Amino acid sequence: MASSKDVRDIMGLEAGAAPAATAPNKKKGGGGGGLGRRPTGMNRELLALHGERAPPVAVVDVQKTYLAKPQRHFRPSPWEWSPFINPARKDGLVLKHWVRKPHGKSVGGEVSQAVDGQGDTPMAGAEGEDGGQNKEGTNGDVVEHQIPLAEYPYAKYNVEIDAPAFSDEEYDLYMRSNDWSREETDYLIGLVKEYYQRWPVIADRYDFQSQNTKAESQDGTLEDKMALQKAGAPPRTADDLKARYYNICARVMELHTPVSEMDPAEFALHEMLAKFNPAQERQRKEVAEQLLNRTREEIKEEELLLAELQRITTNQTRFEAERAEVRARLEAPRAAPGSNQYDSSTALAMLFNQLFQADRSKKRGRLSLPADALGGHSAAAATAAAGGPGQTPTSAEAHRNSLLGSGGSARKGSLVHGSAAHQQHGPGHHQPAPKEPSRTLAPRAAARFGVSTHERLSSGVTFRTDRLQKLRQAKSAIQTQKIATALAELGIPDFVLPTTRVCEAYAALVGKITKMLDLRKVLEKQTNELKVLRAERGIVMAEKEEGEGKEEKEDARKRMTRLLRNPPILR
Amino acid sequence: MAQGFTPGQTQAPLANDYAGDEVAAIVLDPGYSTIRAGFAGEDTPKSVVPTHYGVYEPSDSAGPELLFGENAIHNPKKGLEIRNPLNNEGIVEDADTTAKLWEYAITSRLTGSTGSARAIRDGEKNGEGDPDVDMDEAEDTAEKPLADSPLMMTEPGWNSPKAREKAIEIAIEEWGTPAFWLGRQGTLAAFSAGKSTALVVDLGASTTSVTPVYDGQMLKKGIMRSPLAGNFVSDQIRLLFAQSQPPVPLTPHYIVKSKTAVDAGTPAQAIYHEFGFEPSASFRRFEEERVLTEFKESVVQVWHGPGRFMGGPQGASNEEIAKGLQGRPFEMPDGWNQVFTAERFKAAEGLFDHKAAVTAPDQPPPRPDQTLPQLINASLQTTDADVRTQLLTNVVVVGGSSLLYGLTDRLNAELTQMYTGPRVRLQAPGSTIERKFASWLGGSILASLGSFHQMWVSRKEYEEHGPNIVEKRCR
Ligand SMILES: Nc1ncnc2c1ncn2[C@@H]1O[C@H](COP(=O)(O)OP(=O)(O)O)[C@@H](O)[C@H]1O
Repeated sequence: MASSKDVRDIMGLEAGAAPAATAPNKKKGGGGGGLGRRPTGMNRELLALHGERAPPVAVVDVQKTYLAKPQRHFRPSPWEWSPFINPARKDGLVLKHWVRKPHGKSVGGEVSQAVDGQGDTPMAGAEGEDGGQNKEGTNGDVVEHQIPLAEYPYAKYNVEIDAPAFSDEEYDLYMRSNDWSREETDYLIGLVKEYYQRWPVIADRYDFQSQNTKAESQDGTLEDKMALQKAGAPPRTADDLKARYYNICARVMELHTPVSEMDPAEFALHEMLAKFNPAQERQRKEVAEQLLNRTREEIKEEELLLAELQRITTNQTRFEAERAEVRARLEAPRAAPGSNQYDSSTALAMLFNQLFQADRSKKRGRLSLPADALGGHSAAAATAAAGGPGQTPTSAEAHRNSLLGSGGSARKGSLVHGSAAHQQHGPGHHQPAPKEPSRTLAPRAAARFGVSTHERLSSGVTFRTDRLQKLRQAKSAIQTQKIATALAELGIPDFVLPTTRVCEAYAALVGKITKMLDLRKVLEKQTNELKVLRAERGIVMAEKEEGEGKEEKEDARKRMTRLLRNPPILR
Repeated sequence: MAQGFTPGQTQAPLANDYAGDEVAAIVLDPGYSTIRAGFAGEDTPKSVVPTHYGVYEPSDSAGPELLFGENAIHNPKKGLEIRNPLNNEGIVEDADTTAKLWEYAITSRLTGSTGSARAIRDGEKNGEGDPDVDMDEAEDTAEKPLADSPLMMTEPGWNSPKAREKAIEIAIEEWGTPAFWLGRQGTLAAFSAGKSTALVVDLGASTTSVTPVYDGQMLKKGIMRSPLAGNFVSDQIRLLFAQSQPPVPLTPHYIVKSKTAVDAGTPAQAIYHEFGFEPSASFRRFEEERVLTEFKESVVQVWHGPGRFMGGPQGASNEEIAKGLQGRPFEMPDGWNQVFTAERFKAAEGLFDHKAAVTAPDQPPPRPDQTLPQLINASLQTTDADVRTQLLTNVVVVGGSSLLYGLTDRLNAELTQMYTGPRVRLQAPGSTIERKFASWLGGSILASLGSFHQMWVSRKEYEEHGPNIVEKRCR
């Protein structure tokens, strides 16, 4: 056997060196119980190979230890293969299942507790005292009283549907049908109950044979029976069955509660039952079937059409809005009705009368025509503030209402009179109507007298220059840019003397420019649309040349589409 | 309290949470190829027994001996015949043998012959001397194999009323089961896929069936079946083998003693067993069938498109394309081997396309209405348009033969081709076990539901109403 010396020799190490180096180590090891301790359980020869140095991997002989047993603070609860009765069954079949057994000593108490709740099984209580053990004869033979008849948790799933019940007279009086015998009706109701109103199943299993035919086919196969049924009356469809059953249900409901006394839920149900229409159902199913039987091409086409339609409708509303806007702009401003409408004396008299009547109906004996009474609420409020103390926004509103009622399409600003109007407002003072027109000057006169009317006087001082500047500003920078170019093209200087008239002219000009820009935009859109259609038409024509089959339909549809998409701009 | 737990204790999930309540019911699912049996609530049948059985008549013995189970029927013996008690539609022909076979399937692995295996006890004896009750009882009924277990059996949807009555008679009178129920294989397969409304397409060994299931009930009038199933594919392979040039030798395992590797297509060089007698034709056929099943598992593939295999323009076949695809090698038990290319698509094409079936003078082509797409269509046509859409989105494909490579994809393609309007959604369980044992699994789930226990037909009810009660209760 090779000793450490041999190994050293082989590896060309100096024989004496190592022991000297490790000698103190060894001693220490002996005392400290560290690495140097001679490992036990190792071959002497193997140990010798280590030499004096401690092995690189500590070979330590460890006493085998296992994980401590987990400490459980409870006793595992025993389970019991115990018999039970399902109360949903009428035959008292006893089956067995695993249930957790109540804990050791408390068993008796708990079981009896469980059983006490039942009340009607005294024997079971006694059984519980016995330690929950159940004696029982053979499995099939039911020894009911020995089994703790605890409530079986799944019994609650034993649901049954209410079948309509009626007496013979009731049947004769209300439910007779030429098509249905009493026997078959009963059969139907039985079947509905049995299959929980699953109509497809009921229709599938519906196999009515009146007593006399039944006997002979008793042990025939399914095929026989089906053949037999085919030979007889026409097979009833699910809808026929439903119709009959619902009808009976409705009748029975009526018998229990007259229709007039039903609560809403009942009534709704009754309505539904009574109104069931098999023909309609059949039709619906036919349609559904057709839907099912569409070919792939049809489906594709439908999808395409739908997409197209969607495109059209979305575009339609947008176009509509744009066109409406353009139209509104193009329309010549209607003559301001203010003075023109009331320029004949009869008309004025009428107006007065109306106003007078309206005013009289109010407590306040005052007729006031607040500036901008037809304007927005805020304007009215502003006027109210400026006006006499008695004037409240509500009364202004009332006036507006009365004016709206009579004056019809009176235009904003037409009855507006600047400071002059305010002065007329005497609190509690009656304004004689004929004076009214005198305050409205003809445009020329107004110009001559330097009278100007204002929609709204903002408080504070403003410069007209600012107004001019503002006019040039549009909402978007692009639009502003466009307006500026247009103005430049027209050679309008950047700075003009902002007299009232210049301002007006300027405003009109800018208005026209924006209108023009808008029109340009619409034009562009229409041209594009036209291009698309042209291209589409080109495709259609090409297709037409390819196959001459479905043209008629296709063409009509295309025309429709085009029409939908391109109604004449101004209808 | 009903479950016997006390408040404040650590609690297992309430039984209601998963609605399971196991009563150690046994589920028996007989098929044409195998009989599956196991405990309800488990996820695989513990006992899977071939339906084929052996009739062994040694010359010296008095009567024939019946051999059941894999271990018994694969040894060549003189005078051993292999039979199947079911007819080609999966209906019981030979009731007596079937009963014995079923009993074998149950007792060999589940209950043991005494039926007392389930008398289990918790170690917690209270010293009151009662724990032995179960034992006494077990001894009482020891002769009956099922005295302790309710039995749920499955049957094909087209089972005859007579066969159904026979089943309950056997279960209650011969096996002594306290409670019995007969479930339809289609419905149960739907349950196994977690659906209560489904169109179940079951490709078994002898029959392919399509069963519409609505809300947990099968629609009888919609059940369609055809013989184009596993055995049909096997027969197609036989024809393909016979018609190929040179013919492919079909050698069962039992003949071969040892083999040596040979080149593809060259004759086998093997040493064969000497029996001194000729094993019966039925035995040989049965053993050949095993080789064919291997072939089906590893070589046969359903044509994946484009179109049908014979569906090129003007009925030309896609054979050229198929030849270009990678072939698959197959080695017979005697070492003969070859790479199959286009042939492997032909074997199963008949399931979809009657014109593509391989024919022989004694094997006429199948009818077009027997093919899978037509079968499904016929079944759907019997249902309401409303129900039809629901069924089409819940097509469940099960059965051993649905494991043919590429079958579900092809079926999906055929259905979407056929029904363009409604959405078609095909579902096939991923695992082999769930496919092969779908109806067993469904039964296992159903029979372990707490809410199911009111459905059992108890022995008392049977005694009161007679066997006809299955017709009323197990619809
Ligand atoms: N992996 C597989 N590939 C193709 N066929 C298979 C496969 N596994 C089993 N089969 C076939 O499936 C059939 C058995 O299916 P199964 O559903 O068990 O039938 P059954 O319910 O009638 O007993 C047999 O014909 C067998 O050859």
